Amino acid sequence: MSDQQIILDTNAYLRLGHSIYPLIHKKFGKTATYSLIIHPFLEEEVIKKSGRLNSDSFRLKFYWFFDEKYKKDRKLNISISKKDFKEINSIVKTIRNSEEFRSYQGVSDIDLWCLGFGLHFNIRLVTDDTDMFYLGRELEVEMISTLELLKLMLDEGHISFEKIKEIAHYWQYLPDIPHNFEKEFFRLFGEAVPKSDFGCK
Amino acid sequence: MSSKKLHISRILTAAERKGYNQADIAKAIGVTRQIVSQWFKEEKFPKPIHLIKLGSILSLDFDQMVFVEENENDPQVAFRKKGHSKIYDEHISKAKEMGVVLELLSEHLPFDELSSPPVLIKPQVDYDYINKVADSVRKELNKSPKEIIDFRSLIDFFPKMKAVLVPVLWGEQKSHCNALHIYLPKKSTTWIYFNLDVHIHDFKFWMAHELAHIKAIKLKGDEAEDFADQFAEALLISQEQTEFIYNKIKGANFYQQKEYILKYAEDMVISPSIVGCRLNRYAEHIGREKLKVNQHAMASDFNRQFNLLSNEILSSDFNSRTYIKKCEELFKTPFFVTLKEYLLKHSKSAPVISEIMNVSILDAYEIYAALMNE
Repeated sequence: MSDQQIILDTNAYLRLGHSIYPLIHKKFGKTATYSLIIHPFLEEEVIKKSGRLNSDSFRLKFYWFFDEKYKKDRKLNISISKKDFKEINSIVKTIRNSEEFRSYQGVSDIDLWCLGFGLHFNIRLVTDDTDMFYLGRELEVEMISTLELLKLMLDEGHISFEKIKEIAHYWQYLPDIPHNFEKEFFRLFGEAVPKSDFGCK
Repeated sequence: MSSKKLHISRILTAAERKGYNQADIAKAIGVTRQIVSQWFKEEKFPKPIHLIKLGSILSLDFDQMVFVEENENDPQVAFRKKGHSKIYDEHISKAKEMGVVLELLSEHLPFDELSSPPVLIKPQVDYDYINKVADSVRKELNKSPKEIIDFRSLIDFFPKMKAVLVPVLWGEQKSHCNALHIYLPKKSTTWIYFNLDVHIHDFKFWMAHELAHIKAIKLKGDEAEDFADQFAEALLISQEQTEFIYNKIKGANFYQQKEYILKYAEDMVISPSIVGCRLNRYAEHIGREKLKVNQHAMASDFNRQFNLLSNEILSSDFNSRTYIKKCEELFKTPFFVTLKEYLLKHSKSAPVISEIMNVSILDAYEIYAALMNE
């Protein structure tokens, strides 16, 4: 397992996967070599466990997810040994039985697994879920938001600020914007969020 | 919160095997020797990050290091299993975690916080006692012993017992259970997840069964299940109805008994296996001959003639909006309104719905979209 790998939770991948291609495993960086990975349950979570409800909210919003091009990108993900899986599961169990976990409700099984993964391999985790974010901090996992990841990618020359503005527009269009979006955008990039033409907030 | 203790002897043995003393452990983990000493004297319990590091240096996993004791304030769960499906530890853990999140949702319920629902003082698995309880509930439902208990009467009873109905679509094949009961002692509320993808003639039995669990909260395990089964039978088929049907069919031959049971099952909109079980239980109680038919064998053929409950109440092109609307209309459940308030207050999104309702992420997105776009 190389240094500077960064794991994305499901939401982070859904927010970035369409706009930055290829996203997974593509090395980038000037000061260090970074690459992004996703947890191994994403396909099962989204595709294999089909819903009972007939509407297409998810499929309309994230139509690209089902495209062969993006499926291929996700196939380049990490493989994890049985030993590592076992150790991650033990970490997950430890977290699950802690007082800290009880304080942060709604952190899913998969989120917990991502935290366990981050702890086990000592790598950064990207999430915009505030409970997961603060739980991760308590567990001494290095947590960053999707906006902070974009800032890193910008600073490391992997994407341009035009790309970031395009992503900001896209998030407003869906709409699927992170918590405190405008404040954080200004904090990180020194500019106001570019307003979309779609009339969506 | 369940109480946890370290398996001190196991940890010390592992440390000795690795040649570590307390000072070595402290240094490896990044804490003081005093803290490690306090752990081993059970004066303090390690933080999760320290426990994880301890496990890593000693090559021990969580279960090897920690003993977890149940706490009476923890969510209590029970499953209505489907057929011969098994309930594993992971199912129970998952349900308890759902319960922990539901404790937060409970704050948004429109229930009286100051009082608890009336429960049985000394519930017991006794035929006459259970009939008394069933009669008493019938009176509360305004149903005479001769009347058939309808869906509406049963459903309307649950809010009085501070029970939240959570109608879910868990599929007919994929789920291991038809219903999940989560009681929150800290909030005195019960959350009943019931799978709409069940046979319509099983539905009233499951509802009556869940009602029994709420009333007889002091019972646990097999005793609770026996009580709930018998209560459900007694509520749906009163003692008066039972005596009438038994006396009518006791002398009949196999085929006639089968016809009668199927007829009564269809009239009452319950499964023939319930009718058969109730009659046999009555027969045993009075020391008389049981039925000639196998009521369980009749049930699957019987069910095939009818729709699943989901197909009855939802149109073929239903979507998340119509699903929520129908559930609120039919089951008068505060669940979706409560869920929406929780999501807004805590800035949560679709994935947490997947956890709370134990549905796929696709369904969670649909439900989230429906709740937020109202």
